[in-house]
Amino acid sequence: MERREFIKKTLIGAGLLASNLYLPINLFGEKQNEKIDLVAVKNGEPDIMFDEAIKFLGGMSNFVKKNQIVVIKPNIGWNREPEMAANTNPKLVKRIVEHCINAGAKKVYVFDNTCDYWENTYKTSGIEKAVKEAGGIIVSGASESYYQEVIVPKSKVLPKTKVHELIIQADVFINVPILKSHGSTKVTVALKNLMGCVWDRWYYHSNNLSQCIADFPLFRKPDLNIVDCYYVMKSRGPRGVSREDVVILKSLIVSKDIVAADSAAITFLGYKFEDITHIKLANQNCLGESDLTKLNIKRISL
Amino acid sequence: MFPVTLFIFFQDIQFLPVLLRLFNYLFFLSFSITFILTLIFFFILFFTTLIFGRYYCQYICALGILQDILPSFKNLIKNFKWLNNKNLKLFLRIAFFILILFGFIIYIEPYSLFSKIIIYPIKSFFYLIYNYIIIIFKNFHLYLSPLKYNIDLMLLIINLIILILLLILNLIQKRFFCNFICPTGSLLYTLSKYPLIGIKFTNQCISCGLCGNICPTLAIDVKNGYIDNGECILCMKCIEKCKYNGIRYDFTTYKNIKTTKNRRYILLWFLFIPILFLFKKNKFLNLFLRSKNYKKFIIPPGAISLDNILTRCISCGLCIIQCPTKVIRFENYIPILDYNNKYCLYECKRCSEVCPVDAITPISLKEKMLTQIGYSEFFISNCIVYTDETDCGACSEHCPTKAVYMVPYKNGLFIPELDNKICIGCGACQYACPSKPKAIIVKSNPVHKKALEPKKDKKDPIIEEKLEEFPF
Repeated sequence: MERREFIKKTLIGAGLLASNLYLPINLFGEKQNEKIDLVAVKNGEPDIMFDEAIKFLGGMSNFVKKNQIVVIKPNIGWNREPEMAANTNPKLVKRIVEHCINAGAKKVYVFDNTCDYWENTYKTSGIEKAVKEAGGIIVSGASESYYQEVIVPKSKVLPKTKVHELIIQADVFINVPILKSHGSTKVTVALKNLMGCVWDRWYYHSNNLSQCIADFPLFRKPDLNIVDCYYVMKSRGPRGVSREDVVILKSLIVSKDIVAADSAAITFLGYKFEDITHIKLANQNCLGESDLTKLNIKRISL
Repeated sequence: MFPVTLFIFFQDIQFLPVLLRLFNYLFFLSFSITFILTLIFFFILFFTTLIFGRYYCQYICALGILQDILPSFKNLIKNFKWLNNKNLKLFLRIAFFILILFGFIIYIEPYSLFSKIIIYPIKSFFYLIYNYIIIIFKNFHLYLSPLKYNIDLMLLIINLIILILLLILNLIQKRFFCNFICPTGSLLYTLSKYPLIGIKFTNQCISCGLCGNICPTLAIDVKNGYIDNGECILCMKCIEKCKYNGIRYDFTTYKNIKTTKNRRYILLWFLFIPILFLFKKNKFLNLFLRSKNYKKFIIPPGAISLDNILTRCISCGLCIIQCPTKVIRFENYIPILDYNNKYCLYECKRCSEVCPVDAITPISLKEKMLTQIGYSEFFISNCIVYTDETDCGACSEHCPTKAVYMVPYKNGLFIPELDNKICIGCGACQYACPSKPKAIIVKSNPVHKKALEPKKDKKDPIIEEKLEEFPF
């Protein structure tokens, strides 16, 4: 490169940068949006909040390409109504399925390995109906034959486990937990929601629960985490007993980073990530950033 | 909803269960709506049989219909003349009646027998095949859910043998069971001996004997020109087959009928009433088939007490097959809850809805949620939090009333603690406990108790916490 040319280009570059600083035109607008690690929305209905949040992450087409197979893993663990906050809000699940289909997904599967009897939970939670209305496919996770043994790389206590084959096969994996309190792990959000992908939950419980939860995403990290904080169970979780356990927070957290989503969501319940063992351990497993100050957070109030 | 109500209706009008239910209501002096309903059903069955004859066996009894479907050789009974003997029939019927006394109602009552035959050999075979088919469907990305079932090998073999026996007897004589064994048939026989409307010969009869040959219950005696309307189950095959209009279903007159020795069938009713009284004290009932100490077994909500279920249950197994989680299984012909692999759902009372004899009495969901069928016991030395010092909390997670709750232990860990006042003994904790042997076990309440309400549900809507600012 000639010296003159070099100076010329540097000057042009400097000029462009300067223009970006002083002029109202945002040349790097696109790139800045990509940098957003976490979107938090408040004061809206679940579906509308998701519409807003996904805009700032470049729309659903940023995650779901044409003819891809998508698997959505909400929390449908318990035989409770939506307002009891034990399961993910059906409105939110419905809107996510719609977004995926609009983005050109070939098939959208929704499933959970439920705690209560699956037929009741799918029905009572309202998710079965919501998914069918949106055009997704709700499938069962109740047979061991659907689960295939996989090796979890670099895992500390969970060398291998049986995972639902949709999680293995799908192109896009979307995790849609609900924020709840929990008797022993204190909270259950995105990381703990992944327990519903495996067959043998009992192995988790008998082999260091927190470490198992933190190890599983080493097998596959969700491509997108959408934390439902509309109805939030503040006490006696994860099943809850009465309406007293529930508050309405009307919030939503969306992030690609599972640990970031967890650390942000738990602040609603007054915790910090240091308080929660499995989030700390997930951070040690390099699954994501737990320090919220290091993240670029987009806060939206509707 | 229609098929369900139809199903419940058919189960409610089964003759012997209606009788048992009625007598039990009288014993326990519980005159609720269900008692009135039972009384109505009883009178409907009683009077329609008096008027129209034994239609019940042909059109309502499930075992009768099953026997109609099963194959049979024609005229084979003719080779066993000694079998087709009125005195032998009477003897057999009374003998089987006495067997009821010794608890064999489980295998003699047609409704109970039918449901056991269907549940054990037939349905479990169907479930097995279905569960294999869904594994094949998996390859086409059709994830259907498997059907849950529990196989009790002993019961499966016994009921399979009974099914085969029924088949063989049916080959010899169509509806052999109805003709020689069935206690419901015997009782209905006495009622329909002289019905208002019945089968009778007309003047056009040429005594060809065709009707006598095809009659499944051997009610027609062409030689003597005599029709036993007590045996007739109104299948109408004779009328259909007769070319000469020689036989008719019409108002009967009893001018020419020899009313001889068969009045002694009325004896059955006199025999039946003391049996029902003996039911109250379950000593006789449990003499052979149910001889075990039941104290440690947990019985379904609505069963009130062990005594109650032991006196009322006819072991039809409807609760077992209807239970969504299949937590109920037979233990010596008593439905009990087995919590090692399953548990009783909090928001379910299916078993109490289906019980035909109200051994599991119908209860509302609210009552069920407060019925303490057992209580939990915690053994800390088996608990994972204690032995491994890691997180667990599976028991508390599953507990619907939070009778098991987690309290701080050490190193930021939590350990379960019990509040048996609000425990309903659903067994979710025992099912969920991952340690072996289980650290939390549900013990039986031989007489069900009432649990306290977990915490009063607020009637007003859920509190909204308005977020001014994000906490991060």
